[in-house]
Amino acid sequence: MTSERQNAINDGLCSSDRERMLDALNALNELLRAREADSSSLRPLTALLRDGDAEVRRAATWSVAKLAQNKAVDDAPLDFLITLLADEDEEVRENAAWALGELAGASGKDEAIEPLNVLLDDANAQVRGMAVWALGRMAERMQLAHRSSVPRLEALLDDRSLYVSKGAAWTLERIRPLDPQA
Amino acid sequence: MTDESQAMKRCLWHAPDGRCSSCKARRIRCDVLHLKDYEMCEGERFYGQCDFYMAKPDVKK
Repeated sequence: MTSERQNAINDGLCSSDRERMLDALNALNELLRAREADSSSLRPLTALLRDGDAEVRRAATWSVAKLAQNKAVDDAPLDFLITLLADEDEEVRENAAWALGELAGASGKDEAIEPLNVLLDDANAQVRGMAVWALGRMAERMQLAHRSSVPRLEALLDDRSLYVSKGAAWTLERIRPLDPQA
Repeated sequence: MTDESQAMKRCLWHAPDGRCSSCKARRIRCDVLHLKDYEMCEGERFYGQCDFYMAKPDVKK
């Protein structure tokens, strides 16, 4: 059952008062870190994924990913997350990839693979690394993979970032046995 | 001898008890780097190697 605190936070997330909504996002962050939030926040968070303010999209995507990590997601906003892989803000792109990786196993879509492939060339190492990891998780947990990811991942084996190069090896280990044809 | 990383500000995610409080960093450190103690930050000397490093902002006065 949803706690009173989370119900109050959910009301705040829906508020037209910006300050109250931002406070609610911060409070939800704390609740999620303590693993005390359930999936009731998903609906108001999904609305915030489309907010015009990148700060809000960052916090909303982080919260969706954390809910998924805590296995507290019943109806994941996959299409919104896939769209956000092309967001203008790098942290939003990273968080969207993180969320899709966390969701893998419970829910996932073939349509996420090409936008994740695009992120393998992202200028930001954190974004590249998270896209690499998400592709590996989708392969491992859902047997979802495309051949088109393989040469791009191979190119990242020499990436200057340790997270990216090690991640590319980790993901290739998971994609190659599937021998994806597409 | 000067170590450049010594001059880096404390990381926002480096908790006082030595843990890394970045959920994203911990996930990658556990899955990809296979770090046994993936929750622990390796400390200031390693800030320069960590993609997830973020300088802790100054406290607003």
